[in-house]
Amino acid sequence: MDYSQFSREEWNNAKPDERLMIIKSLEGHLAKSENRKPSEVIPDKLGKYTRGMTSLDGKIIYINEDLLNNYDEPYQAVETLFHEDRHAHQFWILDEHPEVAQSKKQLLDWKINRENYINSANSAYYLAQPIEMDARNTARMKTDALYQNILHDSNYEIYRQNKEKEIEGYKEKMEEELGPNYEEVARKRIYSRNRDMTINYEDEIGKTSEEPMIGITEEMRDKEQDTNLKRNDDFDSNLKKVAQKEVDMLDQSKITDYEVKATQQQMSENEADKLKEEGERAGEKGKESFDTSLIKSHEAFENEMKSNSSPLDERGKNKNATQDEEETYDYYYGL
Amino acid sequence: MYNLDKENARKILLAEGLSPFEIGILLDDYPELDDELGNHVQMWLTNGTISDILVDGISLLEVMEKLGTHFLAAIKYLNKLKSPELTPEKKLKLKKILTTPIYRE
Repeated sequence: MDYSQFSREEWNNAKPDERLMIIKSLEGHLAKSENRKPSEVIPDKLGKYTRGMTSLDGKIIYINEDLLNNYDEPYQAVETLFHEDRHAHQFWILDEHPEVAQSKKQLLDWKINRENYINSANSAYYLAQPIEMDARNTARMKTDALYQNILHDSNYEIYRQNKEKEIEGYKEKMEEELGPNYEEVARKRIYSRNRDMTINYEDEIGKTSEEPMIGITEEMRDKEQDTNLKRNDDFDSNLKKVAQKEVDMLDQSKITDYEVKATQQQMSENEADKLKEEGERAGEKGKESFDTSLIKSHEAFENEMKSNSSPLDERGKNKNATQDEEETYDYYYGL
Repeated sequence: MYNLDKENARKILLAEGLSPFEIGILLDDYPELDDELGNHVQMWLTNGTISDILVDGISLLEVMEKLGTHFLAAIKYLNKLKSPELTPEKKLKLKKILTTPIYRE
């Protein structure tokens, strides 16, 4: 990958359509790195305060054409692309590769957030919702890495400082409206409205009512924030409980499976041993019994012959039989 | 003081294309409004008109645009700015928040 194409110098010398190619090239690189199909990047008039947008399936990224036309430096266009590409990544994971998610929690957060996206109802919730927090943090980190660590761009520092101020302003807003645990408050909000989820946190911890703190006193706000903190604790505790339950169930099922298999195996081994022993015992006993019987029979026969008291001769024929009886005997026994 | 007709507002917001989830965020615990702001909300409820209003030098339309929020959300912010219980420091902080753009990405 030739990172120099994203440098400030290259950007300055490029025309808007060439800048679009640079941005498309970055999207191609990011998508390829995880075997994902690149999103189509389309420049559009998005107004003064919208830098980019991503379709809910992640297949199209709209980028504000002002970022391509009116900026002498690539930083914002590149950071916006990083941001929108992260949304494409999130939706790709949700729709095609959930196994790539870093955790079950991340997967669930993104899934529920995409279904319950907060846009114009409240700007603090917009900023604090999981998929926006993640995209903003990722874009920030990648832009710093590209221009500080890879391209060593000394001009980047001013942009970075302004960006940090922007983020700080967002943080102030989120804290003012949602309290210090704004991220968890937003998470809880999106979970609380999802009635179709198997794990319904609202049912678990009661109804939610975090609202932007408009028209209320300082004391009420503090109380609200305390309540939010308590709710977050409850939420955390509940989340842990649910997670622990899953782990326990998993462990239990593993233990049960293991125990069943082990027991079955043990039973098989025991049964086999037992059968073998019984077989051997029976065999020995049988052989012994057979041998004993044979010897006894033979001895008895010999003794009878010796005593000459038997009515049978050495071939087993009745010594006192009549001629007819002898013929009948011979006929039946083939003698 | 003015109380929003939430049922009527809900119908209008649905017609505007907001999701029930977002409508819930917007309307749940919607505060009692200052009369002047209430008049603006009533106009919006009646005929969909949004006219600008300045509160402490902050424009309603500017708040809507810079924060990317719905009219009713922006009215809430301005209502808070009008609260007599806000300390000067808090008011200053709120004004800064309301005039600092939030970029949509």
